[in-house]
Amino acid sequence: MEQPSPHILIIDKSSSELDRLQLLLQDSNYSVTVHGDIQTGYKQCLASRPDLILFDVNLSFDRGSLFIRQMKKQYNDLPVPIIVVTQEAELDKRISIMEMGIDDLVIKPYYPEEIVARIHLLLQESNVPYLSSRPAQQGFSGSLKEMNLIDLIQTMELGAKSGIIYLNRGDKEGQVHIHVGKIVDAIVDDYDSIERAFLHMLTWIDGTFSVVIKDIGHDFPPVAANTQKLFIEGAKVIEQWRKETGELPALHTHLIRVESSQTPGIGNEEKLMLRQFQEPCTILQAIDRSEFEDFYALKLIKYLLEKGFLIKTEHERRRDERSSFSVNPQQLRRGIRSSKNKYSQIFSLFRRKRRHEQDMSLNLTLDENDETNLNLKSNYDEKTMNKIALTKAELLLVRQKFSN
Amino acid sequence: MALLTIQKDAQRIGEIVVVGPSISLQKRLITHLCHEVILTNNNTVFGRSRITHELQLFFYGIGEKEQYQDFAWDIVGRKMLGYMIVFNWYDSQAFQETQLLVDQLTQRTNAHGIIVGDVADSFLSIHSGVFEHGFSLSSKLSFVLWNSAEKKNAKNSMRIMLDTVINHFD
Amino acid sequence: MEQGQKTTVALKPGIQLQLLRYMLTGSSPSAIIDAMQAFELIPSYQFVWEKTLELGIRIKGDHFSQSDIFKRLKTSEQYKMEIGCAEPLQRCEANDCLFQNPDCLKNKLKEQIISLYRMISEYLGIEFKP
Repeated sequence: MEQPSPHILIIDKSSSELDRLQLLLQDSNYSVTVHGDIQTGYKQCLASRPDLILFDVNLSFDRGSLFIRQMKKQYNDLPVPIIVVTQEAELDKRISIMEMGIDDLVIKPYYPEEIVARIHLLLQESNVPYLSSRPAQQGFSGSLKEMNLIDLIQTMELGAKSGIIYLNRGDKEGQVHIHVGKIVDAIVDDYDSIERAFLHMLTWIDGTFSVVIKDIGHDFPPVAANTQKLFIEGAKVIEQWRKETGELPALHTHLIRVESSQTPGIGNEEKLMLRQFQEPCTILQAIDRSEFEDFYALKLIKYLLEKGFLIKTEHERRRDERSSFSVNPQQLRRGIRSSKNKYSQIFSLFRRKRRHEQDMSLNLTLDENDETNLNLKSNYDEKTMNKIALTKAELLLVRQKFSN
Repeated sequence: MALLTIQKDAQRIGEIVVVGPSISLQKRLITHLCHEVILTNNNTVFGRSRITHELQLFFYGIGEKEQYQDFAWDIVGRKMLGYMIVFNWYDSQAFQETQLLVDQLTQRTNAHGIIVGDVADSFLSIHSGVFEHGFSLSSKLSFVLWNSAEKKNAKNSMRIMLDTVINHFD
Repeated sequence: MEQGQKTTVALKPGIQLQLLRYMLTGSSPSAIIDAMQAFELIPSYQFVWEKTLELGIRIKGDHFSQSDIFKRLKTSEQYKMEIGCAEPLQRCEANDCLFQNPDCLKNKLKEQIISLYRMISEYLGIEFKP
């Protein structure tokens, strides 16, 4: 007797990846139902038990975790395997997702083939019949913050691997083709040379990557420029990019133009850039969408921010207030000057001490109305340089004191 | 107006910032490490420890989450001797908050630090071999367990942090 | 065990702290390991290995020998035989499969890490909760 097809329930927003995944699953003889939100997906689960659930936790993290708990409770006797997909790059967040008690976690962007392989595996473990087998795609993926393009290429070079590195930043996608550890092609936007496309992608520090290891054929000649030279040039580009972006809020910060009929004193290029921010838009999106070269676009945005033509959206400002590790100096000064501020006492200790460093007599005041100008440097991203005020001999004295 | 005066000869000062999810634990640690706790309220603790006539350590306990996130690390981080992150080892919520804080702080400052996990709640269940030396997480960050019911043990955490500072001294 | 040198990924201190917490409380690190990708597991294994040595030396003193740990760990050869892998042994030992077969590498390292956790629980005289 023919066995019924295993039923896969997918809860995710529609995307090209999802369409492809659906097709692949159907090709592998699965019956697939797709819902765009957790609510309807949940109702479907109550109506009939699926053999496996795949859902995107980013649709709603809280409801997602509730949904998982409900499913565990509902099918306590015969658990339904759950695969969660997420865009979350941070390991801590991924851990908290795993701790929800799911069976597998896949980071977006994913390869539909990889998901199919994982589904096969999970269903096999839970003894649900499956009718075809596909080898998993070989490769790995992650965040460019953790491994940048140079790290990836060096890794491929070290192992003399062949394959394609797919990079994603915002809406953009780029590819670097590697043959036996050597770059043979780089494709992004309409850059006409491999070197330029490659150098452009090096500035993608905030995106994600996926590496697919496969034989890409032998037709390509290796890239003209010497790889080492390209790396040196690339390192310079990365350094410059970090420096330029370090002076701005994070690239995913939403900005909006200040409503004003007049924009005196700015040129046509600045005006063109301002147009990108008619609606709230991240710095990265504006750079990607603008017709200017990335570094130039960055300079224009910096100028517009400094002159007050661009500001953070209300949402971003509220977020800043909540998470103040990225406080800006203005906020900090405001905090220090506020006579009601809880920390003014401690701050005043620091201020006084700095000012009277050379004084023989040091009076520390806790006067809350004291307003002292602090020379604060705008230093969002760079680590604070630590220069200990004590000598080694003094440190040894302190060490001795705490040994007794 | 002037609430406290430091004596004329006290010219050399090392600063240590104490952070963590609980102000009461910060206060307890500072009390164990200092000769006197000069200022304390619900949000801040300030204590000092005299090493010699010329040399003192200042300990700043800067309160709970909202406070330490608003703290001027840019200013203080430049010269501080180090930081101590203290939390209740058995409290899962405090642990999660500490994890986040550790990651943020190590990105925010280059200073040396020590994470101090208080095990007073269940001190006897911990093997003595775990207490003495601490564990290094990186060249500038260590972890140590602390029994907040015992003063001697707090000195141990200071010692471990100082060792990493001294080892790195140019 | 020699570690692969193909990754520059460093473990965040918050994650190290979590690994340490599981270690000292006799809890299984499975949840955290499952959330990691293979290239993140390599530094995690290294970290757990170092802490096992540290604790072994501290607690067992002169009675401690590194070979006690090796005896309890599955060798790459055993692991390869179990899973029926035909790749050269050196590749397994050097964690070379990070690219060709990250899941296999992950399984291998997970097994090793959990064995190390069991050993640590024994050193500390606490029950290991798998």
